[in-house]
Amino acid sequence: MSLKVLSEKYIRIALAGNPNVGKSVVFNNLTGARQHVGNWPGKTVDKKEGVYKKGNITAYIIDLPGTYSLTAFSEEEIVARDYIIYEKPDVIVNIIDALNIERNLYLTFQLLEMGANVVIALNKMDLAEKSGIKIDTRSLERELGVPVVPTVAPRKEGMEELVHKVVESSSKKTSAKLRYSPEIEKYIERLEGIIRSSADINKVFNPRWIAIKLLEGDNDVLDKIKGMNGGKEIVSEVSKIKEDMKSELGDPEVAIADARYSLISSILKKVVRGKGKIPASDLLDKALLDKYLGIPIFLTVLWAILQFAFIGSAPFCDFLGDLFAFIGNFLTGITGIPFVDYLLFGDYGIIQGLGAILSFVPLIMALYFALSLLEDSGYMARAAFIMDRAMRKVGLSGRTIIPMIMGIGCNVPAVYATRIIPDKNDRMVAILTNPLIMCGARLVFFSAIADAFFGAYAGDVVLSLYLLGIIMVFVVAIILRKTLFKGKASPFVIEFPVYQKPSLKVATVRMWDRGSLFFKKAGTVILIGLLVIGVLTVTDARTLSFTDNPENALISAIGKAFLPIFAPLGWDWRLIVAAIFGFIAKEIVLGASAMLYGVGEEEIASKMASMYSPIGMYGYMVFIQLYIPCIVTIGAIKQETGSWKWTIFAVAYGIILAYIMNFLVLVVGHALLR
Amino acid sequence: MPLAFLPEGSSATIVGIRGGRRLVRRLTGLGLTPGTQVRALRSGYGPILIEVRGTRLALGKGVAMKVFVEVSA
Amino acid sequence: MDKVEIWSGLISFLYILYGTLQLYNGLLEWWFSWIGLGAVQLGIKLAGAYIPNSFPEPFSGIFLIVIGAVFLKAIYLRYRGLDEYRGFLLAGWALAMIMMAVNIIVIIADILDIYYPLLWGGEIGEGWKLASDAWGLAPHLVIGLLASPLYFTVKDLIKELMPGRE
Repeated sequence: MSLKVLSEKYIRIALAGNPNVGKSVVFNNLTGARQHVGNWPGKTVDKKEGVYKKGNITAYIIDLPGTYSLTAFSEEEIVARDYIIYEKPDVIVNIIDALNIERNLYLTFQLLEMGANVVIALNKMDLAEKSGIKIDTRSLERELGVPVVPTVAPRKEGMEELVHKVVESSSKKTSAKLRYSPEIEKYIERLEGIIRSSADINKVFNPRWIAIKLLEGDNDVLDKIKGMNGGKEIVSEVSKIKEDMKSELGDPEVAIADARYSLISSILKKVVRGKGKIPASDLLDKALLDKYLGIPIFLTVLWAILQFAFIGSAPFCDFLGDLFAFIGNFLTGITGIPFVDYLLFGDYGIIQGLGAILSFVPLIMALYFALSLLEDSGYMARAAFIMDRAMRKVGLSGRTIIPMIMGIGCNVPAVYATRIIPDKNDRMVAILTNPLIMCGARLVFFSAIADAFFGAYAGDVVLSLYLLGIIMVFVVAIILRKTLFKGKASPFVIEFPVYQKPSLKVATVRMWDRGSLFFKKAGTVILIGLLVIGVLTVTDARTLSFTDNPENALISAIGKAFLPIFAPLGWDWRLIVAAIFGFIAKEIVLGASAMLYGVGEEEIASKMASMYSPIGMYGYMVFIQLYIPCIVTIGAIKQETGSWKWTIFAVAYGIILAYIMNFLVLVVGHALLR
Repeated sequence: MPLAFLPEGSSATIVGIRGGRRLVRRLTGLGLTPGTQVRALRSGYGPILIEVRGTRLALGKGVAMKVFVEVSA
Repeated sequence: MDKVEIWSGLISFLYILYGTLQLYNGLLEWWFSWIGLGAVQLGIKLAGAYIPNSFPEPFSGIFLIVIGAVFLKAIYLRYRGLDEYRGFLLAGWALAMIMMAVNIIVIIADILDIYYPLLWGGEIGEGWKLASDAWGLAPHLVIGLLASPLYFTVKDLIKELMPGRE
């Protein structure tokens, strides 16, 4: 018997590819449950990492953002290429869509230019076959000089071979070089030679890649080089070479792009047989993009999603709410200190408050689930297409429709969802206007109050507030577009992926990821906020000791301090305080109100009805609808905009807008009554 | 003529893109370069749908006005 | 007119009919309750509930009508011999299936909502009854079931669309 020592193999892999190629499915296949979604520091791009473990092989896998190219123009591209340059993964698995192979190879070539160690996963082979496209994988391997593994990711076909090839390649340093046409190569090699002589630069970067990027006029690379030893000399050489290039071949950037595509064409001619039409997709598109039925169909799908999300998650939301109530009640009296007890476990204490917010997580998860299915199926692109024309009129990009839809459930995931909007200005407008859309929390509050105040018209009132929110989104968007974010909405370009069966697995994973992210974030932020407000509510203003009468507490003193500002709106201190509570989370407004009026949640509506006029109440509801986003949303805004300036702006304009609208309601209302 | 005016169903060749570098680069990565064949799948008001290099792309009116094509014989 | 056209025609008619009923009932309840007219139901009464239950909700009604319109266009195109009808038929069928699924999920959710306190030995108020459920066996479910056999007609298009996958 021989002793074989199995060495542990540890590899670092990066997944790269176009959007919509099935990268997530491959990632899921390899990592299973061992994955984690986070953020690239300082960027609003998802960072997906995971681990593959089988036998003696352990692989750390990072799923780079999907990109069409590796220029320096979008955050996704910068994140992807910086990772490849600086982190130098052992192997890059380039996932290619067999149905769009021509365009996909454009990215592949750029990866090879970087000198990366590439293994190609040729995905959607089943679809390509059925479409009549025949790809000679061995031939492609020969032409590109890298291993090509045919895969059908949803069926996990090819995964074993992929891992095998990756392990095989991991001992290599780099893939073979791909040469373009001689006319262009001579310029590239000329510059390459100069770069090689700079020891420092040569150590960090691949000279060929630097040469190509500098000829293309890549500013990011230019900056990186300038600061290094020998950089300035290189830069001056670059302009000379570019001049020469220009006179012979025309614009260097265009020439290089052409060189890539012409090499792609010539390779594909040898490797691919059959044109492959996908008329089926077109047929479905004829219906879904129909001039008259397109938008109605979209609205129908939307409605179905909302019904599913709200009603479907209701039992889970209720369950969570009850669970926390139960915990609160159970733990009451456990500390023996009335102050802490009331604060933590009282009917309106921290635990209950936390429960109220966390009871929203199922709703958020349901929304993410539905949206994942929608995106996976390929319909999302069509929806953005259909809505684009309408959205353009108010200066929003078609893709903004999706965060707007999500906002109906909760503004927090909606703000995160604005990542799908590529243009920075478009995204800002989408983020800043999103909180105006009525979220589930406000719906709860309004429904309860509306019933008591407006009787049969309750549904109308709530609907009017919804519509008000949407109208305000358009109004504010137009204003923002004219002032702070001047210019037309950015170029709308979207790829229509082939329709495909959405993956329930991916949807579930996404739903869980996002849900738990919110859970953790909301949990911490809201906990702190609740603590602060909780303390303010139980601390007597004069004696600074415990009081269970909010009217005597610090919180009411604060509320009364703001009275002069809100007097013109007809508010009393309780409404002010409830609004302050709403800052923490809109869900709390109801519970907080109940506490302030000294009644149970069921009676709050009727109690308030006896104290305020319908018009005054409607004005108040308008204010709550528009004022500021809840603290978790504010956190999300800060994260997605990356600046305090804009976050504060969002808060400020919200309050001002809300105040004005509330006032208008009173003025108009009283005028009408006369 | 601008791509925006290409009638539904007809093919054309791209002759140029009039836009900033950012736009040109973005379109290049998607396969829209001079000399490439495109076919209009759906035109009319609003965004248009084209087929290029085997892929379906939807372009907003603004973009479609900046891509110039010559109709194939 | 062949089998497919007749059946789709029936489906289309039903969607539009019940959509209108829901719209009517919804408007009546929401805005025009002062007229004093009662809701209109067209169905079999079983266990205290109507099947299908045209619960009053104008939006639900509108969207049922939309689905009916999609089927209508499919029939029209097929009648004219245009191949495009297949896309519309598939779209209509898919929408019908989605609505049916939503209805089923709603019923399950409502049941769960009533019975979950049992998890910790809590009490339940009234149990779940078909009649007490806002949606019940709504047109979404009923007409959806009727539309499901159209799967065999659209099956080929689905296979073309997503070859090799079930």
